[in-house]
Amino acid sequence: MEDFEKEMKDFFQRREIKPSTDVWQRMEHLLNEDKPVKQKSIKLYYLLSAAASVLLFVGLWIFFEKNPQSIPETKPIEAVVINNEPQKTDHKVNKKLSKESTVKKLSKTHTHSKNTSNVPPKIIVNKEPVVTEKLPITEKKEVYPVYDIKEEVFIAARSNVEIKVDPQRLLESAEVERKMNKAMPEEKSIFRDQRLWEIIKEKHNNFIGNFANTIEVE
Amino acid sequence: MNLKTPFSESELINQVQNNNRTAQKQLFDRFSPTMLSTCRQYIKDLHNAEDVMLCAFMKVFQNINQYRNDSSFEGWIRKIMIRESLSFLRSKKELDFIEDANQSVLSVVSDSYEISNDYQKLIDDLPKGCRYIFVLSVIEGYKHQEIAEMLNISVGTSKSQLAYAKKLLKQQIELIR
Repeated sequence: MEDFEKEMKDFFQRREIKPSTDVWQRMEHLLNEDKPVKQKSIKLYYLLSAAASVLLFVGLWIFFEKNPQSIPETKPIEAVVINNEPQKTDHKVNKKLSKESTVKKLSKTHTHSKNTSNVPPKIIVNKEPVVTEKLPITEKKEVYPVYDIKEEVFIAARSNVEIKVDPQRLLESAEVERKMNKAMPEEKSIFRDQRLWEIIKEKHNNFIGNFANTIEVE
Repeated sequence: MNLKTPFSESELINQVQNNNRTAQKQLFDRFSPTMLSTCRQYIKDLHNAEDVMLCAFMKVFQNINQYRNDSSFEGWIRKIMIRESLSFLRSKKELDFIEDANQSVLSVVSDSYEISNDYQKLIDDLPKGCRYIFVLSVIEGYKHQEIAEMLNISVGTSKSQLAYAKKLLKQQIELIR
């Protein structure tokens, strides 16, 4: 058996089988096919890298578009702090409070409400009691009610429309009402309303007249 | 330099490494008959064997830079041929081994063989499991450990399959004589 195996081994080691005549052509064809494959792979590599960079750019653009806060910018106002200083009930003080503090903060709060549309701004109200000095406005010392602007700020913060409040006119109308209440405490409310309406009408006509003059001048 | 003059083996390898087409043809012409014989030991169909040989030569040309001069160049090519042939057989699910060799029966026992050194037919008629192990072990000279790694089988299976192949061949030879 061992001899047989040796014979067999020698036979196979010496054996040659002539391939078919076109075998080199087939081989050459395979070799020629091999080169474009490499070129294609290189092209594909560049194509894939270009596509990846475009995707990355678009992704980043979308990301920053959706999250504008991720871009470093001025911090939005997170809360409206009502002035901690004691408020005087003087006209001047009220004007100052109305013009500088309230209106500006309203606009700021409104700006903030655009950024955080669903979340209303946090309102920090002064915990200390507002000190009201009893100063004479006319002849008697009276205490005017301090207008709590918390409600207005809150509404303005929620709404999309910017509300501008003229504090001077507001205070004037309040003053008129107070005077009327004082002057005619027992009169009927209808009469009081009529007087009030007349005053408002007068003011309105004055305003229109002033406005018309302004146009003529221009 | 005349490119039609045959290269020496080392020069041929260098030229093939440089993708010299003439050198590639010379290498192919020099080794293809032997390598086709090697492939044919494993693959019964000659056309399939030739296709496998072509694929194996492609790998030779692609990976010739990995060849180190510490071993025979022909042996290196032959290894590639054998691996490619086994890969082909694996793809055709021909590499199925029966652990209990007694269950397998020689397919053609009663055929009469002419004593014309038709060893190929003897091998072809062996059951496919033990056939490849016999060729790898007896003709190529691989050890059982190497065969086990190449065919993903245990060393014991390789040994038992080889013993079974030898037993069947012995029966055949006795019948012929």
